[in-house]
Amino acid sequence: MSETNLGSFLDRVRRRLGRAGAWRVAAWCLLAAASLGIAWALAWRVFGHAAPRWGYAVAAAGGLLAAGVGTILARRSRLQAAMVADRVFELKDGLLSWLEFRDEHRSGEVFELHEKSMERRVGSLDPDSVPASRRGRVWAAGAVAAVVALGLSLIPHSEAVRERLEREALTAERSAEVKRQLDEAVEELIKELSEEERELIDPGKLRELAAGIQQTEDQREAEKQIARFEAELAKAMQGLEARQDEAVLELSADELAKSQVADARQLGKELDAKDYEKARRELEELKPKAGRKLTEQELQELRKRVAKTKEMAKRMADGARQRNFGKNLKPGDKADGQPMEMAQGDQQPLQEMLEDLDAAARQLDGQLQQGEFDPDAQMAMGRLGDRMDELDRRLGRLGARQKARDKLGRLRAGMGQARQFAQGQAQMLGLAQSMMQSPNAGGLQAGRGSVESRRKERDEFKDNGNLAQLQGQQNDDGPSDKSVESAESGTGIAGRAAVAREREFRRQMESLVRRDDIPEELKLGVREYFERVHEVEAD
Amino acid sequence: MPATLDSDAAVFAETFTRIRDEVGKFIVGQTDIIENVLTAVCCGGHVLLEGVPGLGKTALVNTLAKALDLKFGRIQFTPDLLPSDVVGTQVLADRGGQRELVFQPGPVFCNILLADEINRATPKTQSALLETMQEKRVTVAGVSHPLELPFFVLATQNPIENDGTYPLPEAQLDRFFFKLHVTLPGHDEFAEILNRTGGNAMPEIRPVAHGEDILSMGRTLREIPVAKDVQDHLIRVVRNTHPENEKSPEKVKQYVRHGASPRAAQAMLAAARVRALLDGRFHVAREDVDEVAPPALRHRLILSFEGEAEGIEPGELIKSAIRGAY
Repeated sequence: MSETNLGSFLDRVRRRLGRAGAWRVAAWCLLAAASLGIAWALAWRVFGHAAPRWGYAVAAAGGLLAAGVGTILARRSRLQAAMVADRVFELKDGLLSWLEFRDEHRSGEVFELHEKSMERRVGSLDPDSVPASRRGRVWAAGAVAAVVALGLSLIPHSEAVRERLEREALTAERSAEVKRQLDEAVEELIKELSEEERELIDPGKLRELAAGIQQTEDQREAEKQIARFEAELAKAMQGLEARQDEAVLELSADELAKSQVADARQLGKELDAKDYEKARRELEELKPKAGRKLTEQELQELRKRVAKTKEMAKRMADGARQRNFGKNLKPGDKADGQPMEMAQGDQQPLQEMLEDLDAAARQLDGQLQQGEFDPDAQMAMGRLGDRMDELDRRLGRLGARQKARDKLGRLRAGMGQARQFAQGQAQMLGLAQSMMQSPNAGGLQAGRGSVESRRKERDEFKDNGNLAQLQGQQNDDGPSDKSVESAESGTGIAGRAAVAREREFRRQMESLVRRDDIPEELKLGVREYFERVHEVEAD
Repeated sequence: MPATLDSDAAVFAETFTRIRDEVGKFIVGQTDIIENVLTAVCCGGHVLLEGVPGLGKTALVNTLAKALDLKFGRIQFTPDLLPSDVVGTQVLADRGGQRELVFQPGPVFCNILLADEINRATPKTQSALLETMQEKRVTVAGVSHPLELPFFVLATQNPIENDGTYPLPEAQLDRFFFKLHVTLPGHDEFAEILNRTGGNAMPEIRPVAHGEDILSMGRTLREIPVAKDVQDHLIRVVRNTHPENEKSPEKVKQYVRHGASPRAAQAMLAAARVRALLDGRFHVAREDVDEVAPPALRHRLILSFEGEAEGIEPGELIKSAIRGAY
């Protein structure tokens, strides 16, 4: 059975249907891709962003791919073309039957007759008259949607988004710079630490804290990271404080200043200035030294020197006693309402140490005044030397704490600059330079505030051990006149002026009770008065 | 010139048309009925005509017999009719002085038998006829008597008088090729009937074909091939009449107890071939199958109790079965 005419007729019908199918698929794919593009653009525009171009590319690529696949799938088989042609030309399954007879290789007179009959029928038919809707409306809708999508793609970021992106980029850049400089500053700080300071500041922990600062686009996160680091530094600095010892030394310095002995006054100056290295050197100068056998002159010299040392020790012990009206406190005892604390590494309260020093000095002096530099005197001098060595080590630790605190303070001060830099309020950041400056350099800035005085609108803080509140207006310029005071004494009432007045009054009273012309009964009365006052407050 | 299928097909169409037109001289309207009856006759099938009295069912069969120049027989079925009254019996006859049993053929010994009101006969009598329809022979006293071919039975039923009737069982109904509803003629047809039959002159029916022509037509139509898709469509239509078929329409599942048998598919295929030939085609189309489905299937769908209670017409179910086959 030949298929020249009928086969070619079917193939023409098939091609026409295939083309129409391809057009239909392309139209729908265009509409779908354009709709996706519009949806993509709108999803971004809702948030003020310009839609990324890659989304359109994906939609277009997807549309093309779908069109290709759809075109292949839309291809009609000969059987399908036969069914369509039978329906359109009312051939009553003639072509379908012919196709199947041919595929089954059926032969005979009836099949020949059938074929001839069909050939006669299709001879006058035009395959191109098979209806092939090309979905004009869908094309139009797709074109319109494509134009809309294209238009939406050209809309840039909104003003707010643009600014935000710029801010984020700036924050990222700056936070990276902060991190870089902080890492350098921390390494520099660690390199400069002495052996004693390394015992107080753990380099690993410091590096770990610094690692918490990471590059970020989120300004708030950047500020949080810096604030966390600052808080850790503040905590570390607080741990390095030895306020009680410093307070004791401060009072001792006041007493030393009243001494007639120049060396003692010099020591007092250095203690008052908290220059503990110099104070140690001065203390070393005051330390009596002698061999086993002394000449008379050497003994005289020794007596003089010991007298100076005794004066120094007495003054220092007197000063220490002023804090607690002559009481000797031990760890755990309360001083001014607060438990007495020992700094890390200290085995003995400073006040007690000074009392021991004073006692040792008096003992030696007494021994020397009695006569020769006998073994008892030598032992006494040995004890005095030990006490002075202890004081020397104590001063050394205090010095190391102070230096460590200073270093951390400089780093902390630098973080204040870093915060301003991250916020864009400063154009440059020089952590290395700030590390070289004293932590107190610059002080408070009127209207802006320093790191120390930076507050939120409502901020809580501990004032003399009590919770107090500072209220103000954020972003307003104005002086910040607070001072961070020692909080180990307090009355339980938050009020800086009252506290300052009380402290001043106490000092005056303490000075009063030390005077020799005041009767002892009066002194005791005053002491008991204040002791009772403290007991009531403690209750 | 040796006969070719092409010429046979032409003869088929021409003969069919001739017979139809000749019958149409006497029978007014009823074109579909005439064509379906002729289709069944060409396929060698029997037809069950259902309609109220007076619609020309008997006249149709009679006219057809005349047009085909075939021997016509008629049986009026009554409840007291015996099987022997249908097929014949042995009688004692005197032959040359000797008495012997001689077979006396019954009315079935004809070419076209009109079995009027078949549902009035007892089941025994009905089965005697139906067996004859199937076998095309009569066996009496162990002796088989073949019937002369062609042999067709056109049975009638009155749908309105059900008292004292014996409805044909489903198995017997299945033997009928077609079941046709003869309906009331329209106004114009009514007028034409009166015009034709009211006067003294009645249309004369001449024989325009013979029994051999019918047999030849039957052979011709069996030459017409059917494509696999078309055959599949036919099978789907028949299967869609079965409630247990998953793809059957919901209505069929709900209202049908039993569906059509393969015999229905055979009848549909044969009838569809007739349609194709009459259309001048040498292939069977799906629309041929759809056209012949109602008369071939309507008596083969056994409705469920719900279907009967709801008064569901088999025609609706057949339409849904056809729709479901596409």
